[in-house]
Amino acid sequence: MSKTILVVDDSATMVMSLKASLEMAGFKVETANDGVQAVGKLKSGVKPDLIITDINMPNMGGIDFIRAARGLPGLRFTPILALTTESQQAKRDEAKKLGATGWLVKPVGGADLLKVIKQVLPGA
Amino acid sequence: MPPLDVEQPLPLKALLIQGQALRRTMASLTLTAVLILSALVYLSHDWVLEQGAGLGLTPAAAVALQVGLLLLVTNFLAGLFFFQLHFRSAGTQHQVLSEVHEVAVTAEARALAAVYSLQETVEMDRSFQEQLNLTVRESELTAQDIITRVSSLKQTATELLSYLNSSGHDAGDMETEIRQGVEFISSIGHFVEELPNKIRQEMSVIRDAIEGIRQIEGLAVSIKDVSKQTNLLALNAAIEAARAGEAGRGFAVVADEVRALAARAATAADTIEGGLTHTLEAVDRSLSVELLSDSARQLEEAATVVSAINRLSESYDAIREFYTTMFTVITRHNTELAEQIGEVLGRLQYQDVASQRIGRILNAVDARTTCIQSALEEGAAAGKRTQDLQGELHALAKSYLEEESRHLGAALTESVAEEEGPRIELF
Repeated sequence: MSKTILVVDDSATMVMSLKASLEMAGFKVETANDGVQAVGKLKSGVKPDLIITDINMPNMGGIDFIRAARGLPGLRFTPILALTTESQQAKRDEAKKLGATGWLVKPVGGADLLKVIKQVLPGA
Repeated sequence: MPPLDVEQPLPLKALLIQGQALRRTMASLTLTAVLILSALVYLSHDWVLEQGAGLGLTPAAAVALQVGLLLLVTNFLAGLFFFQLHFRSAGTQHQVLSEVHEVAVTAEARALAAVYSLQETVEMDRSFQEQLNLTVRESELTAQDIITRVSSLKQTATELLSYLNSSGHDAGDMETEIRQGVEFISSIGHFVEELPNKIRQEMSVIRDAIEGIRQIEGLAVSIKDVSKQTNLLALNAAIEAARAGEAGRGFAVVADEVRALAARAATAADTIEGGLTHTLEAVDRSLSVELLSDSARQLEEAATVVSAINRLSESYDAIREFYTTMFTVITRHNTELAEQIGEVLGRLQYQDVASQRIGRILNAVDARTTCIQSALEEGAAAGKRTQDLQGELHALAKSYLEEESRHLGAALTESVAEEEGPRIELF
């Protein structure tokens, strides 16, 4: 059974690009345009095996979303990757402290992304 | 940019220096005149009293006359001197003020030009903002269109691969069926191949049989001869029986019967001979050498069908190999295509990076526009506002650069990324 990945980004281009790449690699993809929508999906029963989130988003940014997601039942150990244009060390440290699994600076090529996914999602 | 240092125009500065010098000159001259006047009054006091007594004046009147005359002379001289001084000074002032006026007019024109330029800048900023927003939107739509097309390309490649895969399987199935057919046809072919020899063998047997029949035909002739001889013999016997008279009556009957038998035997031999001749003619026609050779050629030609079918089977082997090779090659290319498409999709993320970068520029331009507009509206208190505007714009530029530096890693150039730490970091 294919693994499910939740992609959270306010850019429609990013969402489409990641969805196409990941579906091509055999993953099932769920999408959300900001942290609020993503939390709504998680609460409505979507159980992703991996979450890829942007950091700078309207309504609820990536940092707050990571905090909220880690507080939800069943998501304590789900890998969360931040995929962002942010390169500031302070933000990286904050995300790490809140339980993020990794930090990727946009843009990330298809091969690199799949390599990282295989590292954080054994058996993918 | 350093803070703006407002300098006074050069002629005005010269005028101010001249004014200060004039004040100092007037003060020192006044002091000097008072000292000279006091000294003259003191030194000429006794001489004035003597001269006054000679003219019959009282000492008080003489002193009053002396002081009055001295003051009159001094005032005249001082007035003359100050008049000349003021006259020159007023000329200079006029010249300086004219220059200052020109400078002020030029400065005002420049200030107005600057204000209009700032207003134009605000308008241009708005146009830039609209165009940049439009560009971002269009690039977003283009990127999304590329993603759709590239995904469709991958879908087509996958379908092609699937088609080739099933074609390969179909070719395999077809090959099995053909191989079975070929085996069946081959056995028929082998049979057909062997058929001329078998027919020749059969013909040999038939020829032997014909030879046997021909011998039987000779037998029929012998029977006919025997029948003739028997008939003659029976005829002689009948003659002899007639000579014998009554005693040979029974023998004559036997002789007649023998003659009848001989006649029947001759008829039967004729019938056999006619039937055998007819049969032999028919068999000869059927087994004529020419006909046999034609049949043999046709049979040999039929036998070549086998080799043709075998070649067809080999062709199917080649087709299957072709499909297998094509499938392998296209599978490899499809994998490479998928990798390349993955990279293209990754590169399209740069649209988001560029979009965010333009967004930050737009925010900075918007803040600058607001700042300039506010300064223009407050207008008149220009001196202070200019300083404020410069400070505010400087702060905006600093804030923009700081914000931008937080996103330096999000670029396609690896050199920038190295300075900002790893692009991919797992905690």
